Amino acid sequence: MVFPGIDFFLVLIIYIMIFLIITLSYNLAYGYTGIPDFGRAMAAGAGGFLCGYLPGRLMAYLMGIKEDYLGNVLIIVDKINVVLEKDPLMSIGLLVLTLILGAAAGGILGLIASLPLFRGIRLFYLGVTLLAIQISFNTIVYHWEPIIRGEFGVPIPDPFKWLGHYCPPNVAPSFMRLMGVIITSGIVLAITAYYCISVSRSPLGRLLKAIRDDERSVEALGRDVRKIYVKVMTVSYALTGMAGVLFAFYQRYVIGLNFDKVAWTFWPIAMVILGGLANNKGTVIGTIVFITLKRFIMFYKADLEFILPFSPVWLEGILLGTLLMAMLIYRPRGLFPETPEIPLSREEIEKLRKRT
Amino acid sequence: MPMQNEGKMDDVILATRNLTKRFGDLVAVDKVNMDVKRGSFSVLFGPNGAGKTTWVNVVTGYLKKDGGRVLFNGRDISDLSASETYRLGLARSFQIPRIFPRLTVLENILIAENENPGEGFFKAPIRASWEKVEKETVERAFKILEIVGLEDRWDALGGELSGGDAKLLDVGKALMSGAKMLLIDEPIAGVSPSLAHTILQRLRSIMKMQGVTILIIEHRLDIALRYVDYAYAMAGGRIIAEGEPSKVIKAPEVIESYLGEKYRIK
Ligand SMILES: Nc1ncnc2c1ncn2[C@@H]1O[C@H](COP(=O)(O)OP(=O)(O)OP(=O)(O)O)[C@@H](O)[C@H]1O
Ligand SMILES: [Mg+2]
Repeated sequence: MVFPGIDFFLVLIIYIMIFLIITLSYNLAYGYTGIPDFGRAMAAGAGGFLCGYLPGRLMAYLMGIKEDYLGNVLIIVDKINVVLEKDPLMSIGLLVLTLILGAAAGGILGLIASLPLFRGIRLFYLGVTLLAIQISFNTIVYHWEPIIRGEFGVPIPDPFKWLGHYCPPNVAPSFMRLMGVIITSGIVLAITAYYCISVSRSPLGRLLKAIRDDERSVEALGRDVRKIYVKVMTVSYALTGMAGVLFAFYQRYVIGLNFDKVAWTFWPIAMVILGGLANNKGTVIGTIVFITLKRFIMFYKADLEFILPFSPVWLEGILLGTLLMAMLIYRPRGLFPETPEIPLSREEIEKLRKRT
Repeated sequence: MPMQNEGKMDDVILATRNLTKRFGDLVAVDKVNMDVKRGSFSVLFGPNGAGKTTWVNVVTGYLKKDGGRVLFNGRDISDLSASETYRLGLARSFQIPRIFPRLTVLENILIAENENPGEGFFKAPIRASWEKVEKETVERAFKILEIVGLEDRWDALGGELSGGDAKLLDVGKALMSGAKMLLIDEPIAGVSPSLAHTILQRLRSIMKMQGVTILIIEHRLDIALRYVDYAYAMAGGRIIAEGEPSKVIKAPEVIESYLGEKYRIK
């Protein structure tokens, strides 16, 4: 049995970070606010497919390439990469711009997808509606070739290529590229984590939990709950949109089958439930555990062939199902159940109490 | 009749005009006309099923009326939602307390303050933008917690409270709202007599000190009538008597429908 090399662990870190962005933002919507969002995959898809659509066309336009983009996409992206490789500034600019637009795309999708609330739809049905919208979304991308050539997909310009070009001797360019992805994902993850954690310890976090516990009661206290749901969906989908962009750039290719509901909706839900709803620490641990398990299974698939009584292809699904069921039976509140998170510390509160 | 009264709207904070609410064939609130004087402390009482809670639900936008009007501070609020009436300064508590079970007692009170900048999606992550307001709000919340006697239990979870404590917490939420008028549905139901007196005393002093108008719904008249200065009796969806409490409970309709014959002998 071989032991995984350094690249395996670098890729593992990338996957963990990308999924942490998703699960933390998902926890904000589901764990804290109680929105049963079964359409998360389309938020990542909004960013990922945008990555297949926009940066290449934009670069082709800037470089004055007149040929039909999709018809010659392999050649054109190669040309773009030659330019990007020598132009770190352009590369970084393209990366940042796409991340911002990916967030915008996710945010707009979250906003539109939650509008049925204003037609009086109940929250539970919104969850199901989101699943339906997500399936239509992926079907359109898959079958409507002008976007990203559907099942064939498109290559994506590589904003990390310059790192290989400028890399010190003795270091593999591929290593430098992975480091680039890690650092970028790290920055986006830091922003996401900072936002989600500080919100959970703010008056807003308290309000979101109150809405989750009793929506009508919060209405009686003067809040427009539907507007708050829409805002949460917008912010949460925007953050997940950036995860989609990162994944697409990391892969350098996106096809219509990417961002499917199993890997990008159901797995993240499982991670959050395993870790503990409305508990960011639990979400982080749940995500790390699940992703690590998943990557190791994939790595040892060939070896497992001989041990398992069934094809290892099924292992992932079986594991997901069994773990979720076991969790729901034995630890329904997750590994780390929710604890009160108060904006002010206990000491501060006791001090204020003494003053009255 | 209703039209004449509208000229004197200044001393009336809340008025209903022919307010009606039906549930199928049942007329739960039947053309109710009520004027609540600004700065008063009054009680609305009547038999079970008289329509008291329904009246509150319609007035506060919880239920849609079937007819009539609701005027608050001279403004027609008949078609406003529950959150809009709250923002106008009309707060309520619930007969069956509605507590956020996974928030602490203190947080349950803090939620009633709806102008904390830290509830904004941009400001929430920036602590400096709301810390000061939050501290002031916590200080104010402790004053309320003291009134309802829950200050020592501020960090207990809402879901862990006993029925009586949950009731008190719900009343606290209404007090915290800073509203101009409070509608409190059975503030002392399930509360021990000594605490019941304390609560009503304190409600009365809040009304005096802050000029808040308070209307309570209550069955325990032996305690409640000592504190209020006006009473409305309701039965079968109608107001059957109103006025000075001692006179209202002597009205024959009230004795017949609510207090029972024994009361007359006393
Ligand atoms: N949502 C509802 N649907 C149908 N009927 C209702 C509803 N709410 C109240 N009712 C009916 O309306 C009538 C008035 O009820 P309401 O709760 O207002 O009485 P109440 O005066 O508050 O009584 P109590 O003192 O027992 O609280 C009752 O007959 C009740 O059964
Ligand atoms: Mg009632």
